[in-house]
Amino acid sequence: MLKRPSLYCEDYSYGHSPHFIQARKAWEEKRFQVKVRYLGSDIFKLILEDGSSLKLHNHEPSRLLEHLEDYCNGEITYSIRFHLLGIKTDGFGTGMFSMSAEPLKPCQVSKKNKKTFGLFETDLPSSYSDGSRGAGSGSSNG
Amino acid sequence: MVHAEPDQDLAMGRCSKMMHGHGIPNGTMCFRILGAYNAPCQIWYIGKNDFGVFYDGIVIVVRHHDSFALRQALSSPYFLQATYLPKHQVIRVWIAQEHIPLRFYMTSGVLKPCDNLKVR
Repeated sequence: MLKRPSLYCEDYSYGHSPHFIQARKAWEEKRFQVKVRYLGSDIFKLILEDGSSLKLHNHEPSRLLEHLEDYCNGEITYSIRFHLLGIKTDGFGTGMFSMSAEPLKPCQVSKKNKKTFGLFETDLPSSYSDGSRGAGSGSSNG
Repeated sequence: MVHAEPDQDLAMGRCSKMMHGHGIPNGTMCFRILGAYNAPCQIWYIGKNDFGVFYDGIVIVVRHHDSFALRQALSSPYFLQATYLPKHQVIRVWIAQEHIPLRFYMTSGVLKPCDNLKVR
């Protein structure tokens, strides 16, 4: 199964998360078959059938690299208009990766990924801050 | 490829086929999908029985025998959200007036012809 995005980047500019409209439009129009080579960091080299090549960036290179390794024999296509790289898998659809010719800006991670874990003592309700209070009040009433 | 024509009568249970692209078998499938991963998705109608689903940055084309019913659910004024279960190829459509989501069993392969349906 295709790996889910590890972070939910809300930036839909090139190189970041693909938007539904971009993906749909790219799906409907002609895409070119390409070969992909990883150049390190977040840079990938796309080689088109006519021999020309493009150096492009993606915000999640590890995920893209995993897809390329898992489905290396699948069809890999590129939409020049929408800057979307499509990696066809068996049965689970086509993974769409937005690519950028320019170096990327930092991702905009959504609020749901900015949870803070752990508690300070001051975060606890007052009834829990003093362990003896609950039991003590109960016994004095009794 | 043989496409079953969208038919409103199908929604009234004329097709008894229980397989991908048709009805969800009662019992095991209902329970299996409860705990399965489901992703919020966007769906568009391609034509005939085909729908495009976009979830987690992935596009997949899936088919359903009663495309009319699915299109009706997606265009409902009470539509809240659609989710896709990639493992079982199920689309769930959450409607404000319904207590439980509507479920549509999809297939990414060839859609088999319906039972009890005269091909026109």
